Amino acid sequence: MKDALLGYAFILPSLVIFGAFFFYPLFRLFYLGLYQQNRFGTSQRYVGPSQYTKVLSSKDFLDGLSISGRYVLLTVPLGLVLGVMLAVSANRRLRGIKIFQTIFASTVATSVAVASVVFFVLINPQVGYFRDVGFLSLSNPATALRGVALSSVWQNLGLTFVITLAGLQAVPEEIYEAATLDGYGPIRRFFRVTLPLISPTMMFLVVVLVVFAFQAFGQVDILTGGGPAGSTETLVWKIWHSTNPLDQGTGSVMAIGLFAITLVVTGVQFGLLNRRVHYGS
Amino acid sequence: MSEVIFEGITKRYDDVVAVDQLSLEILDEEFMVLLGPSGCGKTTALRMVAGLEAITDGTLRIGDRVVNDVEAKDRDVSMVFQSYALYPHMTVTKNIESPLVARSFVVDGETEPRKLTKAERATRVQDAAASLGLEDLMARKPAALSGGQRQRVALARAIVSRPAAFLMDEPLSNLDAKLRAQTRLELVDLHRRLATTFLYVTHDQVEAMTMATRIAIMSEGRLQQVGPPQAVYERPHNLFVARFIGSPPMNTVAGRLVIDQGEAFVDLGTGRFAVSAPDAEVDRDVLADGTDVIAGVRPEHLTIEVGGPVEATISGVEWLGHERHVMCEIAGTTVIVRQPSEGPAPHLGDRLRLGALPHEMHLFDPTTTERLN
Repeated sequence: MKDALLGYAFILPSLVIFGAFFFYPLFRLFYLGLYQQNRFGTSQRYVGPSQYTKVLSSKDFLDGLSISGRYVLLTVPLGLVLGVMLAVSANRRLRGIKIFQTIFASTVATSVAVASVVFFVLINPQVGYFRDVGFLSLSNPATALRGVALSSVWQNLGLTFVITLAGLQAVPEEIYEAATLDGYGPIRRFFRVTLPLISPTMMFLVVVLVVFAFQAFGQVDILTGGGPAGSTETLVWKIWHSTNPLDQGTGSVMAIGLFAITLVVTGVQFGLLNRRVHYGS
Repeated sequence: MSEVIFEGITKRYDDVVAVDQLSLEILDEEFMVLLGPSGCGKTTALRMVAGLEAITDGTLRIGDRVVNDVEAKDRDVSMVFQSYALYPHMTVTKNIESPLVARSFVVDGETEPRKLTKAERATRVQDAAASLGLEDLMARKPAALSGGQRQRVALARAIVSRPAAFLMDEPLSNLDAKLRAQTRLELVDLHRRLATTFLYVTHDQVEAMTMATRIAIMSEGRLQQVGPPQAVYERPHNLFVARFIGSPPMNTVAGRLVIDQGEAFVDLGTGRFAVSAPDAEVDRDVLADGTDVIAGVRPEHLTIEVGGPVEATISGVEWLGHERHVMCEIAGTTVIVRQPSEGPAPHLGDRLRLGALPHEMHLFDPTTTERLN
């Protein structure tokens, strides 16, 4: 009994912090989703769970979801492949390799705002250096999401690189040497030895990058503001723009929807990938 | 089935010389142990044979091929690593099969190397697994194996490709003492069954003494002595080998050579031990009367005896059950006398006299540390 009390005392600080900044807002979100505000935000009316079914099946939400989904597909595989390629190429003992490692890792220290401004300068339809590169054009509804995605890929590259490099460096050198003696060439070695051994790292990165992509907001807001023609209105962007008091309930429901989707997607990833992931020796 | 020949092999890393002018012939079907303290270059020498380190200078032959520039996979050697280096994500079967997948082999009755078929690979894996008693573990992954089992898998992976030579880098160091003793016997047995060249690196002289056909002792990148275990033990070529081989190590005491009426003695300050006549091969001028020497004598060749020629004081006694180590001071140097544990133990501070067999006295040059007699 005394031990239990002591145990709770130890977790109290984190309970308080989680409670105030995580559990309470989440609960508050559920609560707001059950109400509708008046035009001025001065009073609210209970509308019940029907608001959930209504919003979650609305075209607005489903459009946002589809755009966020496409955003995941545009950013995660490309970002992962590029990050792993960089990490593999920088994971060797060469004079001056630290310089390259630092450069490749540098976007870790870049904020979304900075990354977006960089890409604004590069691909803005009016002033960007590469405004004529059609397949990324931010002014074309068919391609605008790609431009935004590219800035995300670039910004997350540092993180992917650093974490993959750490994963690679945790693989014992002797295993690579055994593979060398077994006659594995670089490609076979990568797919048969390296990749399986860093699979826990890859698993972690996939989950993190998917969550990042679902949460993408800053790059959308800065580069396109959701346009053109709503073609880059990701879920989070829609939620953030439901600031009109009339929309507060709707926005809350969308946020809960996004939370649930992220939870399910992450759960499925753990379930699927865990079977193929090798942990430890 | 090949000899491995180092001809003046040197390995330099920037300013550090890891292996210095190593010349060593490992005979076909020999069990050669490279022995030395850590940092002596033995592992680097082994890795150069494996093709994992480039050779700075010299010629390396495996069989009748110069392999300096041959890739590791084409050298026809296999290696057991200290950590075993099993692939943790593969089953035992896959681990053992691994050396057969990417490489080409000359199959019995054929002349050209080719990739093995799936059936041929399966047969070889079966054979290797059976010879190490792994049949029941084939579907497991390394994480589900004990240290000893992992070690067997590493050995099976080494023998499956039927190489010309086996390279082993301290393969027993991760096992507990009991398993290590048992595995030593199994390795000797494996060597006998495979009748293939073994090159085995260790810092453990017990492993070297018990398994080797010959031992090559290295220190600071240089080869100190090569020979069968008994020869290395009985006739060390220099002070390093004398002190490195044997447990407890050989006693070494500074002294002076005295020739008295044609008989040789070594004077240690508190008395003198007789030394049997130097071999004919030794230049007698080197061993003139009055020469400073370092006298070496193994603990089992020293006896505490009434009327012995050298006086000593007891400074400690260690009782090990089957024997006793008596520490004695001779003119400020501690020597160890190995005694049977029966009989009354000497007491700390006792003054007594030591005797030694004249033909078991080793003399070394204090400057060059080379053997003199």
